[in-house]
Amino acid sequence: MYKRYGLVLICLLALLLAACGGSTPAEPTVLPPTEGAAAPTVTQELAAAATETPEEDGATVGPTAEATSTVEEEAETPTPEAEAIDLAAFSEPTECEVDLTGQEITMYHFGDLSGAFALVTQPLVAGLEDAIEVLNADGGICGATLKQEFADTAGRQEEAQAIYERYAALDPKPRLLLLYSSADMELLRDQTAEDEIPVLSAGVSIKAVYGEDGQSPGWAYGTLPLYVDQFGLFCNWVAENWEGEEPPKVGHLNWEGAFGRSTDTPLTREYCAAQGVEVVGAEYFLPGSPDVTTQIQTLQASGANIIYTTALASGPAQVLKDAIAIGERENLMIAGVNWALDTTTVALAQQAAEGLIGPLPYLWWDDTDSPGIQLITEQWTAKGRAPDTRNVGYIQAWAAVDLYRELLTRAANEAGDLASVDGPAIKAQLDELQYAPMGIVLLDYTDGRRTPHNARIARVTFTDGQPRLEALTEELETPSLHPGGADAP
Amino acid sequence: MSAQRLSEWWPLALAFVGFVLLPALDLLPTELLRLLASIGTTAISVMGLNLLLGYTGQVSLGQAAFVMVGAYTSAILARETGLSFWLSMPLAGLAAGLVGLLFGLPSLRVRGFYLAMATLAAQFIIPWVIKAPEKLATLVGWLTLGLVHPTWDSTLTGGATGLQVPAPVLFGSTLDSTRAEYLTVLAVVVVAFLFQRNVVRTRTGRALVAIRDNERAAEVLGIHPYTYKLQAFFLCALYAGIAGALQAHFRRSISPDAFTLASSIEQLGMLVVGGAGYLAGPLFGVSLFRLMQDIIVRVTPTLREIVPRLLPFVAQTDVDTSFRPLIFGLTLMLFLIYQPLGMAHGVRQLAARWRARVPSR
Amino acid sequence: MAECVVLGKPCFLLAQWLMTGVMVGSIYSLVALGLVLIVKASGIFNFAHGYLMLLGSLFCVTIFQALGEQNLWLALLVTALLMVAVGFLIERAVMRPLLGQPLLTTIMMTLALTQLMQGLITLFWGVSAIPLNIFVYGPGDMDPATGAALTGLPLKPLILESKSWLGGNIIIKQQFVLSFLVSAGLVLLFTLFFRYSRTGLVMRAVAENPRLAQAVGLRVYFTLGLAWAIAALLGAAAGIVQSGGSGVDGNTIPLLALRAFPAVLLGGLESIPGAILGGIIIGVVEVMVTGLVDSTTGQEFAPFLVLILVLLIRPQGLFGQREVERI
Repeated sequence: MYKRYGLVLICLLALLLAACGGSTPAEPTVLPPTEGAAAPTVTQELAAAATETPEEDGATVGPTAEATSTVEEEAETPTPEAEAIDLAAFSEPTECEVDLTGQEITMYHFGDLSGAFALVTQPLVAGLEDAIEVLNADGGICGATLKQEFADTAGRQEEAQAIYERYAALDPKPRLLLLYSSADMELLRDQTAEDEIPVLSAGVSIKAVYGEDGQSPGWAYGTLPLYVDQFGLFCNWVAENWEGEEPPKVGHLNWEGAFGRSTDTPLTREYCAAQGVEVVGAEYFLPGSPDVTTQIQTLQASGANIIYTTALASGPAQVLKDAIAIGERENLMIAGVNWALDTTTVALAQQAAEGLIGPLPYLWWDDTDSPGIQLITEQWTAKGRAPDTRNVGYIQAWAAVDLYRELLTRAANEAGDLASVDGPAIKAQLDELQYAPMGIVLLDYTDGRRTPHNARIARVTFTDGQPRLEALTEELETPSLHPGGADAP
Repeated sequence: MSAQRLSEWWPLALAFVGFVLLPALDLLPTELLRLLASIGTTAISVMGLNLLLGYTGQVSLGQAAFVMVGAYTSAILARETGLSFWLSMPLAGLAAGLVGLLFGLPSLRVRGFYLAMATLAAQFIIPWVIKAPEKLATLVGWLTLGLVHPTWDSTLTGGATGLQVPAPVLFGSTLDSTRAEYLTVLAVVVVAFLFQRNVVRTRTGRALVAIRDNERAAEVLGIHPYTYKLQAFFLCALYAGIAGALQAHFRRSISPDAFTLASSIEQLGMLVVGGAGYLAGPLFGVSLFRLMQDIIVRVTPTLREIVPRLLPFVAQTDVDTSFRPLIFGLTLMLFLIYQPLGMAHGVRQLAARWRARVPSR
Repeated sequence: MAECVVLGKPCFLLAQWLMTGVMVGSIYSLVALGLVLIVKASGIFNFAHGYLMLLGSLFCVTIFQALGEQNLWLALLVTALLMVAVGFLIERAVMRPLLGQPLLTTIMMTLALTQLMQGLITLFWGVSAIPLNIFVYGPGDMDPATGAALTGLPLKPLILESKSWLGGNIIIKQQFVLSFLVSAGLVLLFTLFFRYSRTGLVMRAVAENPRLAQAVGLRVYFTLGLAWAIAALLGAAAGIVQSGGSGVDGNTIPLLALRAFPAVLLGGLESIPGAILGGIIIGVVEVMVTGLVDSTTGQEFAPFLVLILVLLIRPQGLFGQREVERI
């Protein structure tokens, strides 16, 4: 009896040992070597994108003075937006003082690539691939080649947990993680702090960045303004520009889950009410819900004439289509968080997306004056990427790679070699970072802030059947609405 | 005589060295311990399923939900009252068992298929309650016409985002290493296994098997199927609860999205493939699938390169998610068709054949 | 007139939700019909029905797009043929080897099928939503008032004037009306088929006693295959009706099928009228609860609460023909 169990157990152990020991993690051949011919020009352009910006600067500063009245837009000219902040001044790459040639740096990231977020996140992988290829052709990070390693959670948190543990157990530990969902970031917040792995998070709920009490910055650094801050900015804009007869009343229509539940807080309600924008209710729907008319009608019944949605891709698309399907689109302003204001929404809602408004905290494909955007567009075209990758994820990916390069360069300069650049070293760099990766978004983490705090308000418009995002304002400063934030009532 | 004893005992001694001594002396790679710990945790829950499905012939589609009850019970007890893990773990098992009874009571009276449906309901209702206790409070308020106003809210359960859970403490030292996790899980697995074996060998176990094989006949023999089925179901959920507590305290965080129907189905599949109705079935099945998952994870980067090249319409990022259910489903199907009694049965057959060929002594 | 308010909500909203609920419920009826059909024909409860729905709508959207979104009818026809093939294939490759095995094994097999199909579908189509422009304006449709192009926009709503007596109008998405009509038509068609056609009769005979049916010369395997084919067709129809207008979403459609399970049990597992009524009831419950509480409560809790209540109070369902085997 015991003999049999014992034998069975031994066999199992041997099998597992063989499996674990035998297979060292397969070396992912992420990037095929670049075509030699294309490389030099690309190289120059990347350098140009970063350095030439100051020269372009004169052109962009020009309109600043006149762009005070916000809502009127120059319909035809792609707006050379006046930056309240001079992004270019912060996008000068740091020079290498060390030579890391022959070494390899891995950029670890994971998130929902095949669940409800897939439409937005999949282009991120494509973008990283392209940006890394260009970077490596340009000499990498002080000579070291960058590669990406990623995994898909399919939106399941147990996956996120398992993947994180796998990455955190690596030797050396990842120096910097890239995450893109609030839920994952909230789940892993304490663990990343414990493991001393700083995280660049594109999911910026309060709990993800500032913890349960909303005032404990951890090891997570947001790459966007907090969702509450974005909503606060939207309230400011509505307060100034509302033209309806009834006073503006907002109804939240959000996805169920950590992301969707991140916007509507007592503090935002109080803040917006003080601006004269009342929040009259919040409804939630499951990602992929084929019908939200019930929720729209409920919000309308409680007086809402503005709907603000914290959802992305199919979420805002469904809201927009259902508002038309019940014939109420003219009576409602529909707005959404930055992720909603994306080409993926337009791809799903098509014509129905017209007029969607929201905060836009980075430069967009339509900001053709920006050298960063020019390079991204050029590469996107050159790589023959599918139209559905022309979205926020692709842009963010380029910014992430540039930021990665900058952080690693700074840290390596300070440490003198790559081996001693670990999580805490990167965090030290992050804590005093003022940098605009690709010149498209200013990340300023000084003064203990963990998220950027600028955005424009933009709107989806169609010109000759082609959708674009039209900026309605220049860069505005968002209020800071996490508990203990500067503007928290 | 003593030589024979020795030959009976040496494999067990070897297993002891392999599974206890080597890890305790930190001679096995952490990665392996992590894998073994995860196998052990899941196996506990699947052992519970084995008592229900393998020995009593009832299906539960809600095992993950009962794991969830255990995980949250233990986590909340530890967070709110500071109760020691060693007490909160059995309490978590008990809580899961009781919640299980709540769902099992109505359906165990009727055909087996109805328990599957009731547990399917549990699989949806339990996460819903844990994610938003305040909504349940509202409903209770309505149903009692406003007489009762419970004030539950999601601060207790962490709502949609889950909870951070403290690591277990033993004699003043925090068990947060993989080795400690592994050894704790191993101890619980051994206890759970022995308990399962004892249940099966007692009168209760024989009654359960009688019910599985022919409920009517069992009844004629004076066995009350309802009582025994309830017992089996209670034990099944109890095992799930224990597994949940282990998971919560060693993963250190729990999320309400982690206990899905897919995970319930996966556990059922592991049991069937491993061999339902065999004591070793859960260990076999869980090991096989965890191993396959591990291999899939390791080859994924390569697959990402190869598959889209072979099948140009496949997106690189879809490779990650598709292979796991694909291979899981395929394996389960092949077993159902060609080896419906599972790996344990196959091993037994092989062993019998081996013994027949080599005359012992 | 005093404002009519019940449960803290204006009356017109409640009436609105009731209407929406019936429309949503019609889709559940269609799903439930597909489930009941297999139960009647072979005693198997098909947990993989949701993936048949998804597969059908993905076939349809792929072919429709390949045809330049011009020829819906051709796309539907090809989809139907493919689904019939899938149905026969499932019966032949997956279910036939299990003939005579216990109920447990067949349940496990349909569960395994869900995983396999999920994997295959993810591999081939990914899981992002794909727009399926059926219940929307087609190319060239103009707004008669403004002359603006309406391509791809949702159809104009149906407005029931009720402001005078309910305090507000009832507004219904036309997509719902159309899906309701399609579902109702299909349900009627298949009910009649099952009751009156010879094949329907044979199917019932096979379900009753496969060996006897074989002995009297009925083509048992073909009949079982046909049952799966029809279930696959019904699944595809439900999937297409559901996704027309809002898009095919691999994450939602299988869940939708799960919500139809309570409908089947409520109706009585083997009863076609029961499935229809059950579907409508689940739809109404879901939408009412969504309105009164929220959509997670409406979709993840309420249908399954109904399920528990059915098991507690009337396990044989509303139209259960046989007394459930009690102990």
